[in-house]
Amino acid sequence: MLQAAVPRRRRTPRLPFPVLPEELVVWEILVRLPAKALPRCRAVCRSWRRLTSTADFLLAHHRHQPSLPLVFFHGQIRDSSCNVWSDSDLDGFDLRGATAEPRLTLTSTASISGEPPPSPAVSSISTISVTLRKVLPSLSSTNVVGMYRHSSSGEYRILYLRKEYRDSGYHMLTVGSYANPRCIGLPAAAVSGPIRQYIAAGPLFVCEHPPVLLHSCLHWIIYRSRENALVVFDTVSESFRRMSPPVAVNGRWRHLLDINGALGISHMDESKTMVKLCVLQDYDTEVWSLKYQIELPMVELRGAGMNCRFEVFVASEEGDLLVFCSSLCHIFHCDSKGKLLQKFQWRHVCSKPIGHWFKESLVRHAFFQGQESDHAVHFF
Amino acid sequence: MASAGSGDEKAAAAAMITLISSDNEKFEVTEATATLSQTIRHMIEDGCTDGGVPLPNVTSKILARVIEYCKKHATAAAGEEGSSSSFSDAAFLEVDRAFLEELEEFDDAFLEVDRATLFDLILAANYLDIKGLLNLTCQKVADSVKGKTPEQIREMYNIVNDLTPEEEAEIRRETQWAFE
Repeated sequence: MLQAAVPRRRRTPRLPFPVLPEELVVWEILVRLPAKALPRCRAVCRSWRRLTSTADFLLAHHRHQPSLPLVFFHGQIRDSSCNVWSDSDLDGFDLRGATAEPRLTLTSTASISGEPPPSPAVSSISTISVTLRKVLPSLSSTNVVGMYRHSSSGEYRILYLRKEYRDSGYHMLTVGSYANPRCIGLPAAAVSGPIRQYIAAGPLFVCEHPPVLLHSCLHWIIYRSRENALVVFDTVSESFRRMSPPVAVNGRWRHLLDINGALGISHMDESKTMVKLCVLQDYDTEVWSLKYQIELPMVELRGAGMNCRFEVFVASEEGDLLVFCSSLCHIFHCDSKGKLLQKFQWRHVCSKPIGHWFKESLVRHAFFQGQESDHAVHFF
Repeated sequence: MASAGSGDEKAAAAAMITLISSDNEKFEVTEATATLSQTIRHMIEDGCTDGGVPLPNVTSKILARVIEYCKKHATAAAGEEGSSSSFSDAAFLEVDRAFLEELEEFDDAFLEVDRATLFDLILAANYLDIKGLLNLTCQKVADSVKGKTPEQIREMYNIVNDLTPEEEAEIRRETQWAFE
């Protein structure tokens, strides 16, 4: 069998250096590397190159990558890598990094003009935006709920709500297809009570709190209802149903998120000093458990200059919080113990988490194949 | 996790298992500690642990470290099970938090070993099927590879470069962004 590391026993007669089987090296170690380190490992030897280029490996590698909250920046932004100024930017916010500031690299001007991507993270987003613009019809004046991968067909679909007189109701569009959008309609009579009308009205705050895709279902919160309910749209059966959130969680200050493959809901209490994060332990029986109860470091936050209305965004599975002002001038990073770790502030730049996540990947997507593009490489 | 009644659980906690290293050293551990290893868990379930569990692939030096890890993490797992929380028990969360912090510190200190020991720990974790230990040790190796050039990685792991200069150039060309 091929060995990933061939010890030169002749040189080290004292102790044979332990040899890791290739399977372990590839599937337990290389799979954990960030996207940028992987091509360098391909240049180590032939077997590493071959084994880290397979579709299975790339998918496993993608799954191992951390989810980074995407933060939207607005203002006078200078991209240091290609010296371009722009007015908006979107970037994955890596909280674990030792760097005091997130990278400010992607500029919308650069991505539109088709300049070469300076890094994989940047190329991924710009390629998506360029590609989507080509394959999507105009979805303005509609209420987009979310995009998902349809499990059996592998198609990327967009669920949206049309509110026109003749053709209202939920519709589904396949990305890259020339077929007309398909009408899914409104929830069947099986969904009883007032919740039906709230589903029909569509989700609120989709821009800040997009629906969460898990178990082939899109989940969103009904904010308007006193009923305290979640809506579940099953992307396979294309039907709606109701789900119960934890009893003590209601009000405006809550949002859904994906916690390591489980549905999570964060909630800020009325006094706005405490954040709770609950996780759906059993999806079928709807049993929730409290994972974190985080007291915000109000004294430190005020001391560090946060003196306006603020919102809180749960930014990691470990309960990291991003606290940001409604005036969008800075972001504070607190950990799950309620300790203020960092303050981010940019001159003339506003920032805000957008509720979407970025995960590095080197998987070559069928989605981008055949799409005209100036870029030599595609990432998703 | 184990859904046995509380009486059974107590009996299990008290039960001791003997692990025998490749150099014939015997280690007595509780069943709760030993069953962090899926391999040993299956052996216990199959009832073939009488007279000790021989582990011919693990030396006493490495086994001692693995047991140290399992002991610490078995306590943590027991603590976690006791606190499946509802909304009111914030006190439990506090305990959990202190536990997790201690565990993190333990893990960091645990990884302060030379590369050969780290590799031996990976091999043992894989053989004994201890997911947490495998994740921890492999992540440590991955972190050490992260910022390295291909030459440095080859040197670190004694790997012979069998790529032709053309192949190397091709890889660099395909993924130029990773080499900048």
